[in-house]
Amino acid sequence: MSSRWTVITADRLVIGTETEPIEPGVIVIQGDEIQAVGKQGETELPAGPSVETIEIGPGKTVQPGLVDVHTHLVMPGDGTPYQTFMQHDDAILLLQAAKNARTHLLSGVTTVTDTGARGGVTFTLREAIKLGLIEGPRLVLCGRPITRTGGHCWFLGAEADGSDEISRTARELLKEGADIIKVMATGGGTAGTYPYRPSLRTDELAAAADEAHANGKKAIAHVSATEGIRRVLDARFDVIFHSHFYEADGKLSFQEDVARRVADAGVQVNPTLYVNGVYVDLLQQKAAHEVLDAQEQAILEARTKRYGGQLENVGKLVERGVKLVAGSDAGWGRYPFGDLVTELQEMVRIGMPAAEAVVAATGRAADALGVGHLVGSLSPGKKADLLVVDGDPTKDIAALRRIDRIMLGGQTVERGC
Amino acid sequence: MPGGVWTVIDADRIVDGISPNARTTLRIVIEAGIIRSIGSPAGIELPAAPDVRLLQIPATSTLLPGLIDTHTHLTMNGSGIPRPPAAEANDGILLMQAVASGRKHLLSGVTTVVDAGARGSLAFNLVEAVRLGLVQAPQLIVAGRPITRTGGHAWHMGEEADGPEGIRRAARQMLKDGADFIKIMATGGGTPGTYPHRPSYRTEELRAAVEEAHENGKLAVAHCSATEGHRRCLEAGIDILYHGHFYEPDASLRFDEEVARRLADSPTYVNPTLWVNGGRLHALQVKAATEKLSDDEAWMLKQRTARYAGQRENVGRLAQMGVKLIAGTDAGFALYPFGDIVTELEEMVVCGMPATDALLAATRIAAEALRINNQVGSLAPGMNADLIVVDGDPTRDVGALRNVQAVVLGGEIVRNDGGFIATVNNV
Repeated sequence: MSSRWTVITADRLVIGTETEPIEPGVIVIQGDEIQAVGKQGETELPAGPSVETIEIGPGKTVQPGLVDVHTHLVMPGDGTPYQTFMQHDDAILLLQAAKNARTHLLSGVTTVTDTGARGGVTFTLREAIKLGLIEGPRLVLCGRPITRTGGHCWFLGAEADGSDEISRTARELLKEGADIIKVMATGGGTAGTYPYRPSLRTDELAAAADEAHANGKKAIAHVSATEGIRRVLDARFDVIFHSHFYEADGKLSFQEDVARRVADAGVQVNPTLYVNGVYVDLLQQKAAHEVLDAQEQAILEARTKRYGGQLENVGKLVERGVKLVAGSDAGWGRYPFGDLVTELQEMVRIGMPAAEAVVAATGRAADALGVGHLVGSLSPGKKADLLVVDGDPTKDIAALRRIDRIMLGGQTVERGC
Repeated sequence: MPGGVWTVIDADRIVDGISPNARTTLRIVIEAGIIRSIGSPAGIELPAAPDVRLLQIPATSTLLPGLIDTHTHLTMNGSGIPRPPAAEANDGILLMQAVASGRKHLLSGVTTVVDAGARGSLAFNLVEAVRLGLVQAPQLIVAGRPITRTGGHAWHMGEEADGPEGIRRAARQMLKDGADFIKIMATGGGTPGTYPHRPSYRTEELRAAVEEAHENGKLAVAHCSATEGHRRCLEAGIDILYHGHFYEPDASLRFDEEVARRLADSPTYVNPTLWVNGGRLHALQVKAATEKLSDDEAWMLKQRTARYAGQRENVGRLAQMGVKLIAGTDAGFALYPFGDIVTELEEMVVCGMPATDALLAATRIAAEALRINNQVGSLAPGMNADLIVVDGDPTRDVGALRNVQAVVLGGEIVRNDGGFIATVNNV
């Protein structure tokens, strides 16, 4: 282990697993790992010539690097339809992924989860980071999402049907280096699939979850329909993405009993608010400058209503004690990389205290992914991935837009000119 | 006046790539990535635009055109340490290597890079990624896969082709894929089973590549180490000769006055690739200074010492005879890392070229060889705003090029260690 020590003192430490900050705090880092965290004056400090001390100025906060549980690194997030973008070969997808990963890192996301890429692209990206060809965030990868033939994101290349085939596909992904297993339990934004229709049977879902658990990994489901939520709960999934509560008729309808089951099972929910909300904002921005045509006006009204319903449902989940984790779905649709903070702001908007949103984007997110022993919190034994933020994100989540310093494994990330 | 970003640079010492010596006290005005005017500050007013970036270069620094490296292999790592086999087999890793290599070169002041051979579609992928805005890289001029005979030098990354018709077809394939020029292996090289002193193509085969290139408005560039190869390349009308060693059929180096004279009289440019050989000698010398060499290493040190001395001498004679020499590192190959074209220029100076000539060989002359001198290689109105600032005076010591303070690519400041920028609002 490197004998290089770093001591960071700050007025406020947000540790990531709890909402109460340590004031004033100190972190002791050796090499890439945190050795001690505590109150100034109560924490033993190393001494000697190999100790670098960094004093963080007043009004600033040190907190864990952000963890985004949900991105699509191979996608541009600029509104290009997947039908167009996926015509590029893997080389272009790889360089898009490299750019996205770097953009997210420079916005403070030190752990990026990819929950749906094509082929082996994200595994190659991780190898390139390991070889030092690019400085990137830590990656938590599913490789390809498992989907039924013709199901949501079938074009990413992991179509499988029946429990045996799904088990084998999960095993292939684990062999290639998957850290998590991602399954498309309902349709989604892929043409010919529908968010309100389940796409796999419970036994098929259970095959994937069991394979993940048997190998010490977490199982994550894309699921928008209420019936899909029931099935992934039966199949013992760990994390639910979207969780919209769509009924079979395509309408949003909150179901108390299902929400209760989610809460009781301790399953974490990533509500992916802004990947939908962005369309409302874009149309409203357009409406502020010009008159919308009838079709646009109708879309704005429908989306506003649907997004209102979605926000309401997620608010109800929080009220019922469901634990949320932060994930942007960046890359998909019009959600660009480098902006997890907007998702956090939306989480605050539906009633989460800012301090809770920080936990949802750090310690709890890392635990949900099964990497809480490595990252997500400022505590001994964790990697020294941390942010210096100008302000107090536990009071004002937007402070996360003002990042003074990003440290990845104890090294300050150079942000260039 | 258009609302684009204007950049104005005032500098006391400018090497403009046109005249060999430095000029003093000039102002350069850049808009939309293009140099709009250059001249005495008294004669050029600041543009009346809302945001004008003013870069005031200190008197101790020199402003010069971005450098041009006429010879690299972006997908190779130049460390002498092989990649793990799984990584070597993965095109994605090689592509990421190319991105990293290009970036390193760019930040070291090289704003135009020639890739002279990469396997598969990698060079074209990189160009496409730059076009899509996914990657920031120097201006790229790529060959794609080098055309080589079956089993010839670099066959593992090459387009193997034999006979004039086969070569014509291979050249057409490269042009179809997006090659900016045709690269052909006229002799063997470092690839096992090939030998630098043996020509690998007949003249008629080389001529087929040249004709196909020229008919499509492209250059034909040859890897060529043997004197007999030079004769054939001259016959065939090759535009640029890489390496230009004078290996005789018995593998000895022997300067051939007559071939050198023909090179000097021809339109052909020569890229002598000194340090890709010198670097390997240097590594052995460093090792010998700290530990005992094995018998094989000791033999290799002796070999390389003699051979490199001969190579330097030959390059000096080519320069004296007026052969048009251009700077190219061959970076990526062997032990030549990216980000260090300066060592190649220093070696050219060691061979007897004045520093001012070495600078031209890496700017305007290189641009002329590549036929892009209407875009890059000198600082004049209408040229791309590719320029660098270095501390010191490289016309006296090319080593000053190591002290890069700023790099501007197409008007965009991609490196600025000098804190030169001030924004003025003069509306």
